[in-house]
This record gives sequence, C-alpha cells and structure tokens, in this order.
Amino acid sequence: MSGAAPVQLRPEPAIRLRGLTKLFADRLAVDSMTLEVAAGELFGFLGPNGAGKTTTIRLLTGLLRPSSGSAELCGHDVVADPLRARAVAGYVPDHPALYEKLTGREMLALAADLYGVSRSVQAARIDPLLGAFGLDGHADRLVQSYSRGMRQKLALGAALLHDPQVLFLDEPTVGLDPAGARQLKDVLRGLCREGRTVFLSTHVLEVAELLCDRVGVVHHGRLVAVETPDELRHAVGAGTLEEAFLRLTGADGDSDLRPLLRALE
Amino acid sequence: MSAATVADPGRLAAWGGYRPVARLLRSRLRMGANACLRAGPEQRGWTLILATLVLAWWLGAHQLAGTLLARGAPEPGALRPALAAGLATLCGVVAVTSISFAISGLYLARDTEMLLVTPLAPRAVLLAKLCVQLATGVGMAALLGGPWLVAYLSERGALAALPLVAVAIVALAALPLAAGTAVTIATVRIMPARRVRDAAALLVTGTVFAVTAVNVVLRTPEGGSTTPLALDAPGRGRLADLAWLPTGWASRAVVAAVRGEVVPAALLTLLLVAAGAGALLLVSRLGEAAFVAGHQRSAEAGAGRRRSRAAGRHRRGRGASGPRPVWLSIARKDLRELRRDASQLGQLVLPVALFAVYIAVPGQAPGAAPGAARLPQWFSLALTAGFASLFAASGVALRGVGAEGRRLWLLRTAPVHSGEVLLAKFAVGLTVAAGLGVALVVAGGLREGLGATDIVFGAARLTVIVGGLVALATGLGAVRPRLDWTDPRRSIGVGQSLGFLGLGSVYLALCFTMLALPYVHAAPAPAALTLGDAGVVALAVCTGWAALRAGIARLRSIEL
Repeated sequence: MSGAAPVQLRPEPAIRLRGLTKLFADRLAVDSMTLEVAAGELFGFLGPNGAGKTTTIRLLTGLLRPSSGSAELCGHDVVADPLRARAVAGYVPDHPALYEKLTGREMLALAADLYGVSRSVQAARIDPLLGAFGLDGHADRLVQSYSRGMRQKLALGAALLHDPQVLFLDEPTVGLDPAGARQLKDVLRGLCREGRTVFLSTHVLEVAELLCDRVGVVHHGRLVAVETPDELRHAVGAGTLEEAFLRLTGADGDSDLRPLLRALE
Repeated sequence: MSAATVADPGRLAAWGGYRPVARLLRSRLRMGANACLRAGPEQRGWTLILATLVLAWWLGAHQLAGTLLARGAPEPGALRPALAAGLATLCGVVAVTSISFAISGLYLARDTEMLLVTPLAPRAVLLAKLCVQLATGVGMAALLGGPWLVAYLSERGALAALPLVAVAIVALAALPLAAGTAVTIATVRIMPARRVRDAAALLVTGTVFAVTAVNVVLRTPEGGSTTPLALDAPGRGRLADLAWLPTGWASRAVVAAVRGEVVPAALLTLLLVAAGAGALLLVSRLGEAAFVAGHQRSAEAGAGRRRSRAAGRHRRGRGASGPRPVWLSIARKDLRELRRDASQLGQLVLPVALFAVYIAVPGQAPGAAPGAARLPQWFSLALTAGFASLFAASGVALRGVGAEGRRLWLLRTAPVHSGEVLLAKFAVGLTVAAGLGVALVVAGGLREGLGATDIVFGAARLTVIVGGLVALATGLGAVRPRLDWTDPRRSIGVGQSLGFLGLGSVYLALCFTMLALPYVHAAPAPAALTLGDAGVVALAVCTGWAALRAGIARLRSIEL
C-alpha cells in the first residue's frame, strides 16, 4: 500500500459478490467469483487481457445478467433490485460512447436527470465539475468535437454528478494525459476519504500499487488473489507488484517471449 | 521479421498494389459468413428465418411474375425504351446511394483506419470497398428485380441469356457507383465526412422532393402528363436509350441476349464490363491520394460549433428546481439529436414532404377517387396523412432504441426503468408522427374548404390511430435494435424496417376500414362517434400495449 494511513473498514460491504458466474455460450468468462469490498475502499481489479475484468464490472453495473450467483451494491441486489443498485453506483467504461450531438453541458445535465438529480443541484455542480476537469472552455461545444481524453473526463464527470456511493472505472487512465491521470488519482483518493468506494480495473500496475487499498487478481475468470499490494508482494515472494502479478497469472519469465521471438525470426 | 511479409514500396507503385484486393474480399466474405452462422444460436436462428423469408419472397414474386407474363410477355424490342428508362433509374439510385455508402464505408467504418496503417496500397482498400458496395447493390437488385427477370427470360425461352444479362446490368451499375464515389472522395477532401453526409442527405431530399413536386403539379387531372422530356417515363426511356449512353448499350445488350443474338450481346456486354471495371480502377487509382487525405481530415477532431449558453441558462432558469422526469429528459435529448443531425432529419422529412405535395395538389388526394363519395371529407385526408405518419414513425419511433447505439450503456447503468426509456421514445415518435399527420390534415382540410368540425374530428381520429402506430414502431424497434452502427440511419435492419411498414400498413388498413364501415348504409355527422371509432380505439390500445410490453421485456434483457 502507498504511504496513506490505513483505511478504517466498515462492517457493511459496499460491494458483495457471491459465486458470481457468467457463461457466454461455451466460454466461462467469470467463474464463481466471491468478494467483498468495504465502503471507503479503493479496490484495484487486475488481470491479463480477456481475464474477465470488464465482464465482472458489466455484471456489477447491470449491463450483463449473471448466469448464476449474486452481486450486491450497498445491500441492493443488482438483479432483484436493479434500480436501487444502479442509483448508488457510477460507471465509466474504458471507451465511453457519448451523445455526439449534445454539448458537454447538455450531456452532464442528461446524466444528472437520469439519476434524478434536482435541477438546483445540477446548477450548483455542473459548472464546477466542468471547470475541475478543464472542460469549461468546451462546455458548449458538441461532444463530437471532443478528443478521447476529454470524452473520458466528461464520462467521469457524468458518473460523479449524482454523488455515487460506489464508482466503477474500467481502465480509467486510458486516453488521459499525465496531468489528467494525476487529477484522476487525486479525485479517487478524495472520494475514498469521503467514504465512497472505488472499484477500478487497470493494466497500469503502478497506478494500482500507488492508489489501491487492496487489489484482486483475476485470471481465466477466477479471482486468484485478494490482498493489499504489500501483502501480495510478500505472499508471492516478489519484489514488485508487477512481478507478483506476472507470477500469479503465469506470464512471468522469458519463456513466454520465446515463441514470439521464434515467430518473428 | 521476414522480408516476404513486408510490403515492397516498388510493388505498391504499380498494378501490384491491387493484389491484396482478393484477400480483403475473402476476409469480408468470411466476416459475413461468421456473422450469419458463427455468432451464436440466436443469430443462426435469425439467419434461418431471414433466409426462409427471402426464399419465400423470391419464389412468390417469381410465381406472380410468371402468371402475369403467361398472358403474353412483350417482345424484347418493344421493351427497349422502358428497359433503358429502368436502367437509368437504377443508375440514379446507385449514384445517390453510393455517396452515403462511400461516407459510411470509406470514412466512418471502423476498419478503414486499421487498413490504412497497414502497408497496403490505399487503392486496394478503395477498390475492395467499391467491390463490396457493388456486390451489396447486386444482391438487393437480385432480390427485388431478380424474380421478374428470371420469369421474363423463362417465358421468352431465353433463360440461358441470364448470365449475360446479369453481367451487363452489374457492369452498368459500376459506372454510377464509381462516379458517386469519386464525387464523394473529392468533396471529403475539402469538407469533413460527417458534414458531407449531412449535405448529401439534404441534397437528396431536396432533389427527390423537387422532382416529385414537379411531376405531381404538372400532371393533369385526366392522368395525362405535361412534364418535360427528362421527367416523364417515355421521354426518359427515349433519352436513356440513346446509342452513345451506357444505358443504351445495356438495353441493347439485354434485348440482343433475349433474342439469342449472342455476338452483339457479348460485344456490348464486354464494352460495359470494360467501362465498369475501368471506372472502378480509375477511381481507386486516381482517388487514393484524395481518399487518404480526406480520411485524415475527417479523423481530426474539429473545433466544433459553439452553441448558445445563454439560451440554455435561460431555459434552465425556468420552472421548478426538482428533478426532471427521466422520460422527458431522454425525449428532449432525442429531439435535440434529431434536430442537429441533418441526415436523420432529411430521411424523416422526405416521405412526409411527398405526402404533403400529394395532399396539396387539387385532384390528387384519394378522396377524389371515384367510389369515395359516400365517405366523409376528412376520411381521405386522414388516410393520406396516416401513411405519412407511418413513414415518420418508421424514421423516428422505430429507430428510437437503435439510435442509442453503443451509448445505451448510459441508460442501462442509470436507475432508469426500461418502460421510461420506451415512454420517451414513444413520446418523441408521437410528437413527430402525429404532429406531422395532424398538420397535413389541417392544411388539406383548409385547402379543401372543410368545416372546423370535420377537421378537428378527422385530426382527433388520426391522432388515436397514429398513437397505436407509434407504439407499434417503438416496441418493434426495441425488439432487435442494431447497436453497433456508424450511421444512425442504419440503427434498424432493412428487414425490420420493411416488416414494420408492412405491419403498419395492415394496421392502418384495419383502422380505416373500421372507420369506413358505418358509412356503408348511412352518413353520420362528423362529430358523431360510431362503432368504428370504438373499434379503432380498441385496436390502437391493444396494438400499442402488446408492442410496448414486448419492447420493454426485450429492452430489459439486452446485454451490452
């Protein structure tokens, strides 16, 4: 874990998965995943490509229906009580598709409306949020003219407007410049200090090591480890989180590179 | 990396640059097959249903054509001007649609960027895309015109001429395709692709509207025509059949093939093939630099037009400060998107404008038809406006859920009930379709000098009917939306669109039959409510309820 003070975990988990499973035709994408993430915790979800990270987040946000098992957000089952579960969550996908023909401000107002945010609260929050993300100069331009990083920031703003208890981020640093990535980290730390829960999937292990209270490593749809970054390193006997990750996912050493090098010869 | 896999720049400069075309086409074919057969059992089921429907349509149309032609298939020579006119129409349709397809396939398709960063000559990418477009057009033509062509050739005992006839027509279609694509590439060189798409949509809308308006306005009440040579069918045929025009070559090649005159038919077909292939190669060779430059220009993030913030603030300042109903927010968003997208707007406006012309010109409305004298005056206006609303519903409500595309994640992750989403789509569809329908009834009623009661009750009956129609469109649109589009106009498949137009026509026919029945033996006052009115309300409510229920259930189960 980073130098931050240890987080006081509350008894009621913000996210609870019990045997969560997703089967696509003949492929098991998420295999009996069981996990609890406490309120106020910043949880990193790590895994190689195709391991099941995005599928898990999509199951938790209601974009996919589980084949079996259950998932709860702040005590609300995502299948049995989807509207309450969604009301406490915010989500930023890795490549957010936004309404191209709306302006940035209209896009945020729509997102706020969808979450039932009153117009007076919208008026108080939208402009500061746009300013905080450096989008105030572009607020009245159509989203179709936004760069990828600007879209990412706008999607993050849309996810924060309703003050969610749980925030899901899928590869949040993709498309952000170093200043944007730094800002994102500050925002996430601030949210957790206020008792919000952040669940992020990332390939950038430095981000996970620096930010996350705990990390979960997923491989072939199974959760193979859940520890703090320090505990994970010690448990695997690795010097860095990257080394630990590579060992856990069976991708360590030079052996994996040999077939690649042979193919290129 | 092996030297064999690296592109040799020398090869790219000459004809060798075209070598990957076959590979690209094979990949495209495999993608098509995979999409139909390997995308899971549900997709295989849909493929089977679609194939069965296509086969049934083809055999049915062939049977019908055969029955009609058995009474006496016209001599090929007598058909030549009409054939030339038909081929000219085909060229026009291909030229116009090629602009839209060039924008979607060359500039907005997600694979273009990937292909352009590989060491392939851009001309190969361009030619492969042109071939795919040509094949798509040929497929559509074979579906629609194939049964008639085969039946005619069978009746004339010239079925063996089919390959020659088909090659001649395909080669002819390559010419307008190349021309339309060349114009598009040249335009995108100086204007971003999305703006060209919008401008082309408006141009097409305006042109079709103008031509139809001229045709309708100049037609005499007796059915005769006073239109100029280029606009009436026989004149168009004579013009298109001129020996120096490719349409003239094609019509002569087809007639010669049907008559069994193999040598002239083959020579003319060869001429067409040479011209068609030459045009495609020329466009791909000369247009590649402009294509790449246009793609780069379109990929750049534009500054975007700044919209009035003051107006937004003014609107926000009004009314209560509580949360806005979700369905209203979604509906407002849909209307904004529709208003700001000229291509969608053009697609919506065109059919409605055509009906408006039809209503506006004296002697054109169905009420003027013999045998309709017993029906009230509002009836014919409402019937015509009902069909205008059918097309408006197809353009807005049917595409409602599909138009969300990949952005549906936002609605699905928010605490929004599927019913609220469909309510928003229904509200937008009803506003547009009923609004346009009622406007047509009012305008037509005022022009015909109808009484206020007639107009009001006609418009009220139409609103109820359109309510059911829009609900049908909204529900059907949610059943199988296409969410991975690059052009919002393609958010619904052709089959689904035709299916809705068919179902909607049946629904309208039932409604207006019920409204007409009480007038068989009596003539109730316009304000009198009849059993027909009760039947229409019941049908509209039942249809709407069933369609929306099905749509809500489907929307809830869509996985993203």
